[in-house]
Amino acid sequence: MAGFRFLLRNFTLRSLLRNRLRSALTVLGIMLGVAILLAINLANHTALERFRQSVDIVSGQTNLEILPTAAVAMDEVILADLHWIWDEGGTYAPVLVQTAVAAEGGRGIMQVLGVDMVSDYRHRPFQWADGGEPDDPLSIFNRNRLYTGYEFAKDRGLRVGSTLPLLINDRVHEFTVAGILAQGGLGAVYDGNLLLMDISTAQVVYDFRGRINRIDLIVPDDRLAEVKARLADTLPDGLTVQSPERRGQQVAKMLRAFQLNLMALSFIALLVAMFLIYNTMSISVIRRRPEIGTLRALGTPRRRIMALFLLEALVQGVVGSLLGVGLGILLAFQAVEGVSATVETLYTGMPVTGVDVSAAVVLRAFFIGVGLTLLAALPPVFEAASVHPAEATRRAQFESRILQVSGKLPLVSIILWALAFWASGQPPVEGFPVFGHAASLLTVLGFALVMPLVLMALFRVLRPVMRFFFGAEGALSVENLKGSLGRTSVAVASLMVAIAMTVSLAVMIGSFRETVKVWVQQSITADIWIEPLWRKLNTSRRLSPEISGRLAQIEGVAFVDDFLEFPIEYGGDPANLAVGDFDVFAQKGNLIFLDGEPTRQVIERAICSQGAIITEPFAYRHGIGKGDTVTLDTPRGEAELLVEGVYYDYASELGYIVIPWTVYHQYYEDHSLSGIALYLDEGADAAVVRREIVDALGGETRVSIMTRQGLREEVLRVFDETFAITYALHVISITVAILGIMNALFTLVLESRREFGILKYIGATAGQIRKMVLIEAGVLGLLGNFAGLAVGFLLSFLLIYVINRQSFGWTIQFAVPLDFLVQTFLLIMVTAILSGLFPARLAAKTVAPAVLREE
Amino acid sequence: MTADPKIQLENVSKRYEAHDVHAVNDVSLAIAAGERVALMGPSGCGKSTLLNLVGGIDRPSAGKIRLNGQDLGQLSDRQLTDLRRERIGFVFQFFNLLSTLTVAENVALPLELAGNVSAAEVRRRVGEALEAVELGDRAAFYPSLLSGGQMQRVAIARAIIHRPDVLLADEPTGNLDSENGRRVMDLLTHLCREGNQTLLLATHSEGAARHADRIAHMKDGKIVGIETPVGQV
Repeated sequence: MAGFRFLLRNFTLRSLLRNRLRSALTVLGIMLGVAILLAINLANHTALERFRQSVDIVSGQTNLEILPTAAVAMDEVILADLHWIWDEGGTYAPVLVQTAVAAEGGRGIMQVLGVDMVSDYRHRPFQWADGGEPDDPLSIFNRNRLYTGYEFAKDRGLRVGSTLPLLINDRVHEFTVAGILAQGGLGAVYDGNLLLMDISTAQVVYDFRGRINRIDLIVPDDRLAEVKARLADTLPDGLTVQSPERRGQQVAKMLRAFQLNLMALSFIALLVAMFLIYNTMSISVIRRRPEIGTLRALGTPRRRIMALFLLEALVQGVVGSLLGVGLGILLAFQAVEGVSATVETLYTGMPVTGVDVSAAVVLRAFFIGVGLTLLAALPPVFEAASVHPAEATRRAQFESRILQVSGKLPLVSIILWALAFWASGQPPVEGFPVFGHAASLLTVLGFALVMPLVLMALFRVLRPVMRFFFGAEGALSVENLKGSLGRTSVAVASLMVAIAMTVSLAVMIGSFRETVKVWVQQSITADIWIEPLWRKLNTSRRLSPEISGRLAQIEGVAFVDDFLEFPIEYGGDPANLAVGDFDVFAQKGNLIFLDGEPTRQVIERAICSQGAIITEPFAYRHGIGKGDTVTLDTPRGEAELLVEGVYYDYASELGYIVIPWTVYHQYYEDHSLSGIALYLDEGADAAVVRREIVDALGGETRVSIMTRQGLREEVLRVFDETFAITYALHVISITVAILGIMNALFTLVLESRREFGILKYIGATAGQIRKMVLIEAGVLGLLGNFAGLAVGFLLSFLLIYVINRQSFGWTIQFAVPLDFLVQTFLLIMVTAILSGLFPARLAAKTVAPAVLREE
Repeated sequence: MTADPKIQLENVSKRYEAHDVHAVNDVSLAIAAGERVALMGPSGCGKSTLLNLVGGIDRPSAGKIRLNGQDLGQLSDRQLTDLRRERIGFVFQFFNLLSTLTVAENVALPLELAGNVSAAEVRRRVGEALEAVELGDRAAFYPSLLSGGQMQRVAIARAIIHRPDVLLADEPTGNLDSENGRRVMDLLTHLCREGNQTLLLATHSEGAARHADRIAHMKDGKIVGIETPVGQV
């Protein structure tokens, strides 16, 4: 053991210190990889945790809840049928969950909880903040009274008795603060953006008289199963009973594809860092072959050699991962900001703030960092253990081995590509494209393995080209790279991976954007759109139905299309139901149906059959097609509707069932609207009509009025916001790859010191040596760029036609974002050459006699 | 000896402060054009350091070195590089060929780095140089396929391709058997005579030193004696 400690100190740790720069680059690479992984994981975790915590606190002691499955609300008369719950030792309380916007000073969307203030204390006990206690406990039952959370009250300087104007749907209502909740518990959920009011007040201001949208139940644990079963049997159509956690599970389910894809992307930086680790460890082994040989000759067993190198990797892995954890926690705040808007807009309807630094998530990222470091170090470690005592010569042996092996690697690549091809044809596993991601990884790995062979061929072509452009230095640079084929291959492969991922994603996003752009151009045909303010952040916000009638009177308005949409559950999965005016659709709509059938034809058929149309993601998720039926669990029983057509739509990955108002009215009582689309007379001026609308609605109605162009731009803005974080992830992956290039260049410079020394003796200037290293950097950048582009295009096919399709069910038309690709190409070239500056300076400073004496 | 020596060393010293070593200590020596001088002495006596100082690879701590009357101390690094490129050829003990280049490419390097010679001229002179060292048929070979003696002949061809005034050879036979060593020294001597080149040779080998006109014996960085070899080759 003492011997091992001696070797550890003098062989392993001293080497790390002596090669500080190389160790630092590797540690930096691991750090960035782990940081990104952790930041994304923490952001994902926080988004879900915040939702779950809010559900937990708002649910309080509730262990069962009754919800409408495919409607906005339920009739409160159902409460009269639940008295038997008392006999089971349980309680129940009606709830109306809505949203409001603080009309002044903007704090975004507020969650409004309307509860029965008489009986709800059993479900959601809360405490008053200091000075927040109501003057009169019964005042909450007065008109327009509410309780606020402490933070919100503090932010706005509210006290008991203060007035608070709230924008509820399309009207401003004046409320009076009747009490202020203490900072913890209920007062802190939704980031403090919770307002509590008596259910009767909520029903009035939201125009939900006699209706509620949830019933919370507390049932003794030993009776839970029986009560749940009895409720399931006796509840009327359109209602379901479930545990409150299920809402968290549903959100987790909705977020899964988004989060898993983001997580897969966050692994790229670490994957690229693995090449860096492999490279560093290989160099470490190659440079010390004579030492290993000597140690072996002195009787050091193979396993001890392996242990020494593994420990070297472990030290770098642990240091890099620890630093990565620190940076990751900092970056998580940025990542949360990056995903918050997407998560809020598309999934949970609530903002994500702060970072929930979960020890489990942090530890997982740390161990993944250390684990992958050791995994990447394994091949060089085995290489070290295989050094024969008599074989302790230098690099030449490693490089000749690379040449020997490189002949066999294409066979392995072909096998990997065949596997990738097979995997790309496999179905998703529980909605996640596991095989699609595996196919990407196998494809990339296949290309990384043929890299030595490809480079050998390319160097032959490149040499005369570089000689032509850069003279002897150009040719010598190519020869230098060729002489270190193993190292060059790893550097180019790591850059290839990072660039390929960026290119493939850029092509996918570019194609997706182009597809959405065309879809928006074709599908958004109405001239003016009217929605409640903040509807983009919360789709439950509504317009008063009477507005529609007023708008129809305005001169220049040809057609009014009232529409409504709300989340439903379909086959146990979240989905959306939308209602529209099919008569208007038939005349003015321009939906693009999968089978190319004209909109008018499909819609007229749907009007006749009183059927439905569905979006492509819905069809994909539920395996439903044209001619099949969809079954809606409505308040008035099951509605079986014939699917008359499936159309392209990119508004929601959960998909939509769209039905005409006539069908809706047969099964539903709610008459609220999500928005109104207006089609103007030919020649009517949209700006003039818009002014007329503002006048017609009067000062009391607060709505968003958008022109067709405005809405089209808005859709693309939300699209860009959703994908902003993916670009950030790729910038970091490329940074790690550039670190790889720098590392490779340092190594090449260190290993070429003898050559530089000779060149100095025979008359090479420092400038010529600097130029050679910069050319090498440029050649590495160029090769990585081209390889990355080629592999990137292949991956983009997998992304578009397999991964994205299986995750979201969208058909995307292939398009190439040429601008972005050219910019990325140039940026990488410049960065690669810049990364060569320091190694070039180092090379130019080579002291010729000293290196020749050493060598 | 002529009045204007090709190489003139005046009280040249080289001290490595970090190691507190006087590698070369107050050496004065004048070498005429076309003269062949061998530096002999044990390892570490300062022979190689002296060659590096003369070649402008290193700068003396004290004293002056003149080449063709030009004080090397007055030249910038760039001018020293130009000087090496145009007027000096190096031959090393371990040949120092670039393994990734062919024999012809190795020989052509000094001209390629100079960049002012046409491709046709480079080809012609490489051919000449290789013929001169009797390796015309090995032009396309890589160094790893040559014997030690052949590699040293390639190194000599590389050292003379740009027709330098001065050849600096550091233990050129140190890595060769005696027969190959003799042949390399015969070749070097022959080429120097033919081109009227000045040769400064650092060696352990008495056999190699016998090819010189004078032998300077060195010890602890100093020249402790100069002799004319008996039975000069």
